[in-house]
Amino acid sequence: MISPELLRRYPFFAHLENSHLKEISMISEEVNIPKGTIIFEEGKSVSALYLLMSGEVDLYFFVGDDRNLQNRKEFLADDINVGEAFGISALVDPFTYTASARATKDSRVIKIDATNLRHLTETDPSLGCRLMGQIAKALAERLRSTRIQLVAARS
Amino acid sequence: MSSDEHAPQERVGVYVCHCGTNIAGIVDVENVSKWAGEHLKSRGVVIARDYKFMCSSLGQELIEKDIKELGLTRVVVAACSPHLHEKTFRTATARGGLNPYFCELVSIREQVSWVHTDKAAATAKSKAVIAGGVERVLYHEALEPLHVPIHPATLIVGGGIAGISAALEIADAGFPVYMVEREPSIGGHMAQFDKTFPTMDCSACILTPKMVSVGTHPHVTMLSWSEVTKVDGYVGNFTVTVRKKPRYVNTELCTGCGICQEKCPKKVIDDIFEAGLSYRKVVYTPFPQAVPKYPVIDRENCTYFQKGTCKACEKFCPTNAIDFNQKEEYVTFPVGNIILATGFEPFDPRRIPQYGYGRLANVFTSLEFERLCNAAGPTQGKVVLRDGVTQPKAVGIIHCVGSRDRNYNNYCSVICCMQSLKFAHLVHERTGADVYNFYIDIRTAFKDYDEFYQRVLEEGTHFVRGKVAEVTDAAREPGEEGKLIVQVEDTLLGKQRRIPLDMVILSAGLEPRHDAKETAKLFGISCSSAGWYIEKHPKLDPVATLTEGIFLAGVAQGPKDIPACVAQGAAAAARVLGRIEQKEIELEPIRATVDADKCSGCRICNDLCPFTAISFHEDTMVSEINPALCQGCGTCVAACPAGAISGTGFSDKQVLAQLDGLLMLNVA
Repeated sequence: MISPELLRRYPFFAHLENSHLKEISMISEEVNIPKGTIIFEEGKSVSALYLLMSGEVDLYFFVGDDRNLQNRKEFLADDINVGEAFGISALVDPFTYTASARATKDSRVIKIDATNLRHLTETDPSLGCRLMGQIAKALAERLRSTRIQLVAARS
Repeated sequence: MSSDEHAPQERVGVYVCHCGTNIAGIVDVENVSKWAGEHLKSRGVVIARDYKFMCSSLGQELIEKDIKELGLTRVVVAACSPHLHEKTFRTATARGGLNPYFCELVSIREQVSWVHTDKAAATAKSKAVIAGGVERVLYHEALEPLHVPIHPATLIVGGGIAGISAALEIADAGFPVYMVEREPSIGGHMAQFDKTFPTMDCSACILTPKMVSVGTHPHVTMLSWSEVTKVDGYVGNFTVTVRKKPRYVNTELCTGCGICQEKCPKKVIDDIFEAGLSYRKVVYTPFPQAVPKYPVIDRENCTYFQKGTCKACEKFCPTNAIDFNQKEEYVTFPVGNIILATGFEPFDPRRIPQYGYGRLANVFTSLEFERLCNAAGPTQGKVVLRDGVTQPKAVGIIHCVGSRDRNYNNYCSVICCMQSLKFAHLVHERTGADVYNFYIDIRTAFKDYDEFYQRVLEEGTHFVRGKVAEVTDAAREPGEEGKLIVQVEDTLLGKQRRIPLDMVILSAGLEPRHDAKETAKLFGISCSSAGWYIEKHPKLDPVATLTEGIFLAGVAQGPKDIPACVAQGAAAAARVLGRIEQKEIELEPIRATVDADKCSGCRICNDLCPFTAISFHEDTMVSEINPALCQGCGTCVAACPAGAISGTGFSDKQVLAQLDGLLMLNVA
């Protein structure tokens, strides 16, 4: 559990009532992630939604498998800025991570339990609606940034 | 007795000043002068007089007349500190036909009458001080002032409002100015503010025309995103080295269109211009009206520099101005004078944990609030809470955060009272919220400031006199849930109060730049214990420094508001222009010199010199003192283990003779 004050800082939780913030803070924790730690892996079912408080996180795809390390290859997919949410598959069906995430600097995150969060959004539609709005906004921003890089890469 | 063999062939005149009752109230001046005439006769004193005010025209004429009529060759004046009237009496001595350095001024005011209460002892001490002066003056040499040419260019360090004001004055007079600014754009803190008290003019609207004038001025060379790394030389002839950091943008091709900034996919929190409230791109200009218009790439955060892919800015740039291969560059140029206008940093309220900044979301710093109010800021001028949408219904403004507090800074930061009143007005205007100002004292000196205070009072702002104990989110009473609670002793009511609020603004004080001490060392000037640059005289010369040719402007010299910064910038410029117009400067010939035959080359003096005037010649293995840079402080003279350095006007002979005199060993 964390203080609702911590959530109040981030526009991601804007429009939420005081009671909403309290409920979310009950299912959240503050976690330090040392540089190099893999936070979650592509294809696994989602356990948490994250919000980056400080540091830096890269999203990447990899090919190959763990048994055969020579063939393993990584592709940088995106990076997360301080103040942004990641692991947003937590609220998007089929609730599996679409990329892997790794801390590229010592980082601090707010980790919100995915199952409980989904439960909250289902039982309180106003909370669900507001959170989904933020998820859509985050996705739209990522899409725009991806398009720009795509255009740059193609030209 | 060292001076016995030295038969005084000099004819000395002694003049003892009453300074009204300043001296005569404690020292029996007539007795002192009579004593000098009798007992120092054997040391060459031919006349000793006392006079009400020696510094008056009549007093000075007395000296001139005696030199001509009695054939005096040396003059001793016992009066105030040499700081004040040494020049007056040297000039009088010169008018009488002697070399001005044959005059010695001894202090019987600052060093005697003002510091003693025992009349008999003070009178005896005055006699000793005069005996020392007489013995010393016998060994004085005729000195000629140094003449140094003045290079017409000026270096201005810092492109805030003080530096801009100084630059425009000098450039408009037709002389070249180099402006060095550390950030990508000039403008300084004033560019971040929304409104300026007490008239509530839009800060950017009054600043940007000046920025444009400097940026386009034919006599100003703009070196933004640059830092001074080395200063050599002396007044009139400084050689300055500046490091131009790579922008990774070719300024010859860049049109400032902003497409790179728009397309850059990477953003980071803007800690500097937006005070951490929003993001900027990695290729950026700090704000739309930036001067110069060229963006810079923040290498530390650039995806291309850190991860090797991206280059979106390069691909999209219509003029191919992005240059990832740019290297840093050093430029060197001569200047005659330097104006330091390096500004301040706001006090970091994280240092006062009980005010909750950084922990409680809706506690803001004053700079953050300025950005919130600014129409070009992260919220387009809407005063909202940290979530970016909620309007506050009750706002508290805490004055004196980090100022007038012995735990942090003892000084008053001058601007915070007016700043806080401005905030109160803006909150009223933009939100209609209840406003509480928590103050220790309201200080609204200067033109139209108190009228502004009256206006804010009439708007219905609540003023609570008392130092805030803490800001907390721990609700204790009904109505405090989800609020910030300010716990304060209201000293006018004489009771503790808990005031629930939605937003708290900490009116943070001003602090010297974190690297102010290193900058001071680079330019050979000094800082006060608080870290502000020290002016030559706190009242009579607040723009010059003790290092010739280096002037101060703006908050770097001490907390002040915008009008005072502008005035000081213009004043520093006037001083520089005066110098440039004179074409050369006369320097005091009180200098240290190294006897090359005695110098062992140990280099102890090299590092000790506070004015970096001593250089070491590797070929001859001796140190040499640059006479134009030397300020005659004597540090090296005392430190030289070989006794190879002597100070003009402070030779061993002169100092020992003065000691003999002070001990009355020369008295018949």
